[in-house]
Amino acid sequence: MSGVAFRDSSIVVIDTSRTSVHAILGLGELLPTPAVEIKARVGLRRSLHDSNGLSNGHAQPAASTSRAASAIPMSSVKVNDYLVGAQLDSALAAGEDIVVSWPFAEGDISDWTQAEAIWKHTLFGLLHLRRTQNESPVLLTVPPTLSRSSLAMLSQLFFERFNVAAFTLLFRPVAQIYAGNALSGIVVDIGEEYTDVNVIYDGFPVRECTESVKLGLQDCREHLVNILRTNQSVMTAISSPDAPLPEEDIKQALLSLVNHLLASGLVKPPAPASSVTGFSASAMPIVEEPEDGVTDIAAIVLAGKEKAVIENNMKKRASAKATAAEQAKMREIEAMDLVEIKDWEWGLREVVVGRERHRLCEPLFDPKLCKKDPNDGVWPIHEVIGAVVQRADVDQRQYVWQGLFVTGELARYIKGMGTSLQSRLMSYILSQPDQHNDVQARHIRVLKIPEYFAEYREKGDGLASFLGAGIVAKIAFHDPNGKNFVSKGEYAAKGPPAIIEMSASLL
Amino acid sequence: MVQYGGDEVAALVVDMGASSLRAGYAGDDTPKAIIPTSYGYITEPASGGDVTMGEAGEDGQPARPAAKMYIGQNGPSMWRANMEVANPIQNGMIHDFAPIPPLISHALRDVMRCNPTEHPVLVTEPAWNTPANRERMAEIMFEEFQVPAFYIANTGVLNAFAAGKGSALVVDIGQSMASVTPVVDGFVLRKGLQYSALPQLVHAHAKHLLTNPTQHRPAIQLLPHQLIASKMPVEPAQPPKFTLREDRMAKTTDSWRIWAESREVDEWIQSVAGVLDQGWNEQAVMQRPPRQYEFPTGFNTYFGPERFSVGELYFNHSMIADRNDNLPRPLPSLITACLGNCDPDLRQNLLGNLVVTGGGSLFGGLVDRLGNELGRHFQVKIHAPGNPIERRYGGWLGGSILASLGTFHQLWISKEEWQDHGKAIVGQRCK
Repeated sequence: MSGVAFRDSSIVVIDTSRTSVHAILGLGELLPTPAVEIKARVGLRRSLHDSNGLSNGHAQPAASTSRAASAIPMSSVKVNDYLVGAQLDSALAAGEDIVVSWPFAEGDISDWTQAEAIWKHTLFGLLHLRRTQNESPVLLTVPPTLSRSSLAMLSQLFFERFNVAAFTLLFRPVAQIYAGNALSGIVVDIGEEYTDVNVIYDGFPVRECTESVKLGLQDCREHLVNILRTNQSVMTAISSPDAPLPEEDIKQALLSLVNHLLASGLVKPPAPASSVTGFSASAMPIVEEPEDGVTDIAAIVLAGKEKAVIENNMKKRASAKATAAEQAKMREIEAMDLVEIKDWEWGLREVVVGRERHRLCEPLFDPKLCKKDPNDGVWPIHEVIGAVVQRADVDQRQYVWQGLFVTGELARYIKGMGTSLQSRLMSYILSQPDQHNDVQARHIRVLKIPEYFAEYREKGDGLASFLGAGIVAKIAFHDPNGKNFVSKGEYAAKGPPAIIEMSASLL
Repeated sequence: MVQYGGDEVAALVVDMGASSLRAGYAGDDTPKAIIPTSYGYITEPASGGDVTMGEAGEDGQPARPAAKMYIGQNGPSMWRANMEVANPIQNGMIHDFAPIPPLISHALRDVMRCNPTEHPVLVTEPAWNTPANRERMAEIMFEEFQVPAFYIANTGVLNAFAAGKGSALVVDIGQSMASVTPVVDGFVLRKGLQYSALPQLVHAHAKHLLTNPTQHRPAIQLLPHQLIASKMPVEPAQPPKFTLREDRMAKTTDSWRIWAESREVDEWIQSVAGVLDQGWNEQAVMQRPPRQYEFPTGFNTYFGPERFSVGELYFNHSMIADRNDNLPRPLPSLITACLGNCDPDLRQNLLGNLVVTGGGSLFGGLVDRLGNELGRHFQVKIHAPGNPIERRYGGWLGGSILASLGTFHQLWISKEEWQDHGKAIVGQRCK
């Protein structure tokens, strides 16, 4: 059965993170960005939920590790009972009474039926595959913490329930480091709730060097919401003193303001540690502005961005003609680093936000800001990274420090986190790079997704695992005699455990 | 596993040493879970103001009333206020069984995420383990983990298997013990077994060297990263400029401090220490290039003869004492004593299959030196894997090979047998 090469157009890549699923059908000449994105959550109507005897404390053992809010429905609930994606969103918006669960949130698969519902929706609902005539090979990314039996279960699920033509797995940190164009390094995945730190050496995850901290974008958002509360002008703009909004609405409004700031790329990463002392006074931007002189025209044309570039140039010319008075005003705003937010989701109120917005990332470096304590296992992420690398072999460390790669949800919005982390990690490497020392690390190199992945330019590094998965899928499925995927025939012959020896980077 | 001809047992292998506990699936080439054997714990403040009780377990039952344990990779290595560190292994043997179930549970359930009730488990033991100890281990596995089957195997034998040999002279240098085990046809010749706490001596000597001033440099402060807020670049051998994390200093326990300092010593040994290939020689030592090393405080200097004097202790004690009756015996004397206790007709076979293993054997130049020392007296052929993982986790690897063999199945002690025969079955089945 092996001996079949797959066409690019039929390959499916599914990247499953703790909180979201990205997928695509068909990889073009350029590696594309995900075609579909859904939140990795499922909903179950309260009536169904209760009728399955969930309220009488009959939960599965894994329940203790799941999110507090979500009970784990029993397997008697059918895959089709779950609401996923747009269906769930609209049901929630309509205010239906729904129990929402996130099966991947804890870095494991807490409920297989829920997981199946999500992937089924992705494959057959969003990518429009048909189960009976499924000719697509699938590459799925998984967290490196999954047990071996879970990996076998996954291959069983995809072959027997989704009828895929071939299947392979890839660990997310490995995919991420590939996207950063390296084989060894530290992958820092800052997600919604957790930050995962993994060390990869020569394309393999180093088992001892895996750590998750319960610090994420969510904590950062809440931190900024609290800061914005102290900003009088923002507060009056949102809830005017004559008609104050209820507390819950204020919170929602502030949250959506924070989201808007993030999405429009208005938040900068924290300054390097050397100037960290007077933080608010010296919130210097360290993001490199995209260069004005566009040189790589071919790549831009390929990426379909020619229009944007032309418009950008037009705008520049227009602003050059603006009156001197206007320019003076602009300069003043720039100096104060103020931004005016007009059309955000929450009504059309105008809000002016100052420098404090750049303090968003602070909780990552100081968990006490969000009331989390090192004694509960929540350390600042730079300490975690340092400790994790110290666990690697003495000889491996200098190679590992050669690739510090920040990815995850946060990296989609904020660029340059790598540089801020780098400066905080200097105490773990030699203080002078010119020592006669061939064992200890001299430099920390920060990785980014290379420029030649045109589709990923200006998208931040958050989608790295999807890009890496695409790269691996192309290579693995193109080689008909490859040993990096399980074909239907091999599955039939060897059963679910075949995946363990036939996958890239599993053993 | 599948790659071994459809053998569906999926056994687990657990190998516990002084530095780390290794666990993984039989048939794999590397363990899936590697966690430090040392663990941290914080005693509840209610148990008296003075938390710095003497090294736990020194007097049989450690007083550990309501202690919260921190196990695993972020157990001892992460700084916590008032956290003590202890290690259940002493001289290669488990001397405190209380933390063993949590350690194994962490490795199997939390790291590997597998259910021990579904897998037979093979555990390793040092050659000098006591019957009481191995029975206790069997009890833990059957009663607390409810494993379906169990076996306990000798690390000497397993190291020989990992090297692909049935008969071998296994020189195993671990973190706390060095041992020489003659293995013949898969069995240990107990009368030839020799072991000593040599690695501890080497470690102590290295620490002594570093923490005492010399004419070229001041004494070195072995402060770990966890206690240092920032450091400034300084010239070699100049006093370091660094700021301490004062908030942490007061709440750091002595046992954690000792643990962290010995880690710094180990790092130094792994990075720069070595041993001369042809015996100690002042001139040869001066010709070797000095190596620069920087400590977490920012202090850095060149280490010349010092870095070789540490390794020399593996071979003779003349550097530190004239009379060495009470010191752990060095490697050549262990090997000679071992051979002297074996039948003369076995010696040639053993020397032709000398397996050097254990993390301590990665010490720079040690294998070459051992070959040279022994070569003066014997015809010897040394087998030392080049792959550091194979060297470090040889015992685990041998267990992985053994447990995945089809012919091994008859040796497992099943749960039923344990229930029928009790503890006695362990001694009968596991030779």
